[in-house]
Amino acid sequence: MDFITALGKLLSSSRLRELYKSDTESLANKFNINEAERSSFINLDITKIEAQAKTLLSKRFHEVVKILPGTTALLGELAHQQFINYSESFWPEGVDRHLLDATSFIQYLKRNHICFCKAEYNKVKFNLKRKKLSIHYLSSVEINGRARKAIQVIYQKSRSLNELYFFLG
Amino acid sequence: MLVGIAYRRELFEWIISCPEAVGCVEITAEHFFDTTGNILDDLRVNYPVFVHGLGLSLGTPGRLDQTYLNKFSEICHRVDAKWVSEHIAFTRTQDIDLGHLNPVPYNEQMLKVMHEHIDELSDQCQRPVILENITSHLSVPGTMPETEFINRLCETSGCGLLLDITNLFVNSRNHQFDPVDWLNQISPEYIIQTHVVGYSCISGQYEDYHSESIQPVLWKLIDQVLDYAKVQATILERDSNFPPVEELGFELGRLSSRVN
Repeated sequence: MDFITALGKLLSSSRLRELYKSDTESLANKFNINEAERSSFINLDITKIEAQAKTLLSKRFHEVVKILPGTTALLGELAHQQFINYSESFWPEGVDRHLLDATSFIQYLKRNHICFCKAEYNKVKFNLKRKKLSIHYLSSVEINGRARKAIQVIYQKSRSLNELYFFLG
Repeated sequence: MLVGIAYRRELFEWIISCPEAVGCVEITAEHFFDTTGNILDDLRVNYPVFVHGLGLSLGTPGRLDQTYLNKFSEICHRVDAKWVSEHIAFTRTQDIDLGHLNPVPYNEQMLKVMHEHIDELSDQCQRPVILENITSHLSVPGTMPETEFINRLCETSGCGLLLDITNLFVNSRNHQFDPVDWLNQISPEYIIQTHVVGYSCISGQYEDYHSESIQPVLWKLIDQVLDYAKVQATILERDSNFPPVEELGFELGRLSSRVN
């Protein structure tokens, strides 16, 4: 394995970082790092690797907060910890990675019966699928402290996403 | 020297109105990979355009992602880019996309990897390539200092340096070194373009969140860089916490008056 691949593995897995701390040589053997790069791997500063790994997750979280302000507000102080709990299970790829991350985070919350903003989830899916129009039923939208049923209409106009709510009852 | 701004969707109306302060535009290629509208044509007609990459991951051994490279190249041709830029970094490996920039070891092997990728990028895009220094809390063990790595890479591959002055400042604070000493070790002819934006400082750690106005201490370093090298273009790179456009115009005006 080359050094960059090994470093990527360390940065993306807290379990491997723990292994590195407890027995660096064994991990280097397990990765079968080529001889020329082995000393670079052995001499990594694991404290700095932890800091970099934390930075990577913070940047991901920062992007997800921008996409899901309602959901992260609902979660309050727990939002960051929930994201950390979720984050190592999925590393999104490609140009839509922030949208994929947001979608996957909501799916994690849903699976674990943790609150999230359904209307926001609809918007993320709308963006990801490059739709022009989508219509959703929302069983509960809070308006002035009162929960109401609503129809959410999302549409694309002038390069931006727009939405309308029709409240029922 | 051209002075301009990094294109962001939030600034579309302002940029497309061609304010006097904006003399050129840098676009991030991957923001336009699936664009069907005519924004790129509007930009090309009104400004000199530079194309910046985030995800080519030049530091990853092996060939570049051909799909990504093709899309990148298509954008370059569409806006008739003056040059293209990427980072001295890796963002992914063969098995994981870390999504953000990570430092590479400064050694002979990495020089070879980066050189091959610069050739690949320049062949595909048919344009000069310049590479940007990144910020990182992590220093990867290598066999030479960053400045030597940059000089040698520029010398052997023919690429230039996109000096991110904010990144240099942030690293100098986090890793306790003198940014002017660092600057003096770089051959001035390699510095083609610069990036500037205010830094962030949270709990004593300096960060490049691209969300602040340029602070006085940074203006001083910008002046020192512009005295040191004959920079061809400077881009103000704001990503969030956007101020009124007048404030961006003021910063651009100050940069222009500094050099012209």
